[in-house]
Amino acid sequence: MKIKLGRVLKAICFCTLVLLTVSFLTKLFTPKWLENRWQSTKTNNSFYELEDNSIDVAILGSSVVAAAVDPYQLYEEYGISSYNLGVMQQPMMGTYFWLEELLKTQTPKVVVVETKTVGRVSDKDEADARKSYDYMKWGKVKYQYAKEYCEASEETDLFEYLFPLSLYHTRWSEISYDDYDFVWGNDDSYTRGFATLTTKSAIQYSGIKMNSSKTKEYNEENEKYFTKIINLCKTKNIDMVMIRTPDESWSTSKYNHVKSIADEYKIDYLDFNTETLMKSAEINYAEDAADSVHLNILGAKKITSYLGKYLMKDYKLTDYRDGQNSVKKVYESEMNMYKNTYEDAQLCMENNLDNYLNTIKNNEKYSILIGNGISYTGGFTETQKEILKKIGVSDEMFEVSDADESNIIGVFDSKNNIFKKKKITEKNPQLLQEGHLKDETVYSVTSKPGKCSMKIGTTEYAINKYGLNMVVYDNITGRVADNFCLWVNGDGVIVIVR
Amino acid sequence: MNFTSLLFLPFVILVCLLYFTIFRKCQWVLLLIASIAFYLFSGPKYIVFILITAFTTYLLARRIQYLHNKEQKIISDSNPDKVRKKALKKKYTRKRKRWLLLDLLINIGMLCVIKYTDFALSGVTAILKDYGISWGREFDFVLPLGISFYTFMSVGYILDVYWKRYNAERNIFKYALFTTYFPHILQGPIGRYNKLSKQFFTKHKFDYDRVAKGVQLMLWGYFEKMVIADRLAIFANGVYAKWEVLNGLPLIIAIAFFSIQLYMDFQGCMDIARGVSQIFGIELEKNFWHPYFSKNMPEFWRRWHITLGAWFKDYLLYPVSMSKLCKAINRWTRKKWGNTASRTCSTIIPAACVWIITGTWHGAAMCYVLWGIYHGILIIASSIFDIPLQKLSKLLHINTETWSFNFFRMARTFVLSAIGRIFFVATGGFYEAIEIIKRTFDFSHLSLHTLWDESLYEYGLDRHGFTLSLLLIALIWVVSMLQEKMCIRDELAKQNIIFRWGLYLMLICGILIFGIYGSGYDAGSFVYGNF
Repeated sequence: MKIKLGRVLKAICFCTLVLLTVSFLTKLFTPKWLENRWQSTKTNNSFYELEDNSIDVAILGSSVVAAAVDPYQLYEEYGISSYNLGVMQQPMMGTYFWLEELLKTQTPKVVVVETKTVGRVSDKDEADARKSYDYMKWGKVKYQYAKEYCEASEETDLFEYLFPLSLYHTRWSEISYDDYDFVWGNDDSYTRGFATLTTKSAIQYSGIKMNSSKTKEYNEENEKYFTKIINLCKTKNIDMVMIRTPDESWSTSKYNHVKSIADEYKIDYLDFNTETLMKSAEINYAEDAADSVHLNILGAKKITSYLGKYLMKDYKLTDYRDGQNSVKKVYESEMNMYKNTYEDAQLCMENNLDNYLNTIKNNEKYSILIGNGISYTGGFTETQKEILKKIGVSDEMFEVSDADESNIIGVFDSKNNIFKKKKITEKNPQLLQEGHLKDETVYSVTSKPGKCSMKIGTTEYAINKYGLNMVVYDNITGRVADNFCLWVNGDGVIVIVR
Repeated sequence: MNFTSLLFLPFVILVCLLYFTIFRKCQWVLLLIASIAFYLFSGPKYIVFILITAFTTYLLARRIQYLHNKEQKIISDSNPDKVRKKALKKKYTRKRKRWLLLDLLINIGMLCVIKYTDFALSGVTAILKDYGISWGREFDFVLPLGISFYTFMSVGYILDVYWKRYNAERNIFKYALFTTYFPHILQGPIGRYNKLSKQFFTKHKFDYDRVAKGVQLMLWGYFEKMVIADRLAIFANGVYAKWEVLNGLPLIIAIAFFSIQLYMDFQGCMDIARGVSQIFGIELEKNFWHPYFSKNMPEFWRRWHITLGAWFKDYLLYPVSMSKLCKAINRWTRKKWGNTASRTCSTIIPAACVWIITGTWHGAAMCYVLWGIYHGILIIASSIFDIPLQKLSKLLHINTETWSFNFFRMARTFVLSAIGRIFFVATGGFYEAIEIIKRTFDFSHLSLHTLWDESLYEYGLDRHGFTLSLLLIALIWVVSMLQEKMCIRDELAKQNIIFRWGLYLMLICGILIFGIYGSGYDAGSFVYGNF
């Protein structure tokens, strides 16, 4: 009997080991969906780190809301505790199930739902749905999400939702540093789901014209789940606010359709595409939008400010900045990382080279890497040369007579002060520098005419468009803050090209 | 349901649980229920065919057995003289033969109608077309699961009863289990009733070591099928999809990959079948023994699809060799051209029969017939030239016992068998096969540059996938070498638990990560399942 019991135990141990291994592999192979500043996966992961019942406002929707509402700003300006669960490309079904998931641990007073998806006619494809699905924790809600998604879409296979490795094992040849990073738990979002976009659209858009009462045809599936969200909020006695962020692709007919739903259910609806609201929020689309649909950090600041004021005025929300409370403690402990992330985003929006260099010159948190790429020809002003010298660049770099025929590498932070310039010869066509940055992250820079390589960890950051490549690495957040090229334009002025 | 379908593992687990608990006193009943359930899951409408085979074979074998017994009884009761005894034997043999022929007519007839009607009709259509008559008809029968395998097993059984090798089974359900037993229904091995019945109807206790070994074998089978065979298939299929515009290296690699793919596919299925059976305490026969280590074609066929080879030897080759017609031809050739010609003739006729039927058994298409003829020619040539070649080696002082010469012989056998595989690929018939062979060995376009100019990655496997394929082939080579020298599973059992578990986990991870399954791949079904 003893032997039999031992063998049963052995079998159980082995099965457990297999399950653990499968779970590890699933985590490793599931795509991380980290695209530039879109960090949906991290958003979902850090949502699960929230203290139970610690948020009053939940922001839900797709990427447009992730880029438009900043929970830290809501706290800083109004003391509102919130979390932005906007996930890029999320179908309304995903928004509904994320609300269900949220309600398992949180009791928000207000749920803000972005309504772009309600006006969307087409279905999102499966890859987009998985961005929203994959990082939900296993449980009844996730199972229901998988089941309903597969029922709604003929091409999907429930097994692949319940056993994601069967879909993602094909990634075995593309597993990267990011994948391992996630497995070891380095998956925090420092912005509570807010995506800090830094480009400028330069699109002239002043809002939709209220010259028609036509309504847009809609997608039944999205509409069905939007109604479910409304009903769920009603059942749970949660106030709901519908918002629509400034979006050049929005239309009057879509507005009319969403507005009719808001009116039917008597829900507040803030559409920042209406001329009135656009003016009230002082949106300048060319400056404040990152592209044709998303806002950048400048636009997000305005929308967040408006929304915060609106919520504080119309809903009885607690100002957690007053007195001592656990929410305040958490916000204050997280604020430093948020500020660093936000500063990095601001740096990315800086296009004046003098200002840029001045910002990074005095900031100890940055490591700066340079390497020549295509047609480096110098062209710095005296001021710029002085700042660069202060950063650590040698005088040699500005001897432009043979600049085109030399390889240049520079690595500067409080730990490194490396500058190399070497004439290109047939025997030595390239220059290489490897080492560790201030926070011990591994880097390697390889310079050769036409193509430069600048790797942090295993990820390549050299843009290789024109001139000198630069990478600015933030040692506090452990992420690359900015990467760009310096190019001398037709007027002989050096411009930043990202 | 097949061995790689999602339902199969839960199905096996459930059957195992019931086998060693609720059904421990009548395990064979559970196996019969499970086998019928397995068949129903795979396509309920085809169960009627296997039931007809099981029922008719059981009844007719019982009838033959009755005639054996009656003949025996009359002889022992009446103690007849020699002449009467001979007459009695003749009478009863004739009667038995009638029942045997009826069984063969029903079962082989059913196989032929389902499998070969369209093939035959296409031939008739082609002939009529030559005479300017336009006629064409297709029935497009879908093959019932494992029909070639269970028909051969049933035929083997009734012939054994006819030849008095053993008595017919009295219990129809017990016989039905032999025909429908789910681990061997898909692709064999082609079992013999006398060997399997002893194991089917014995009580098997739960033996941890035996079960663990069965699971190991299953795991390895899945690795062979899903990781190796299906990966190599991607490249081979990719190349053969556009063979018309290719020459040399891609086709050479494709045929090598295809040969190994077929081996791993079939061997993988066998290992899964044997593994499942081992869990139940039933040992199925080995169907392969490292065929690509064979030094000549006869040896290759003793190592490849062993149970089919043995079946043909027992139920076709010997009967044909011993048939009156064959003996008469031998006598006639001996009289006309002497002993050597007679010997050659006695080799050629049965072998030709066996190989044409072997080819046709593999599929109803001209390519399979050609493949059978090709192998028949090689086997006959091998038998005829074996002694002269040995003499020649002696004369030229070639040491045939060195490893290099053995390696050459192995490589030669591999190449010859691989060329034969081209007939499998050439669905367009003989001329297409010849064209592919010509293109494969067209060295005028052979450029080693192809090895590193990335062009090999255009056929479905990228650089990583291709490199992995080569590593997997190397792994199979090493494992096969080790298996020639030792029983790996016995050696494994001696190792520490950490090593063993580590290895099992690696195997599981290997299947999960590198296996061809899920919507990212179009996982192939077992190739031999179509035969």
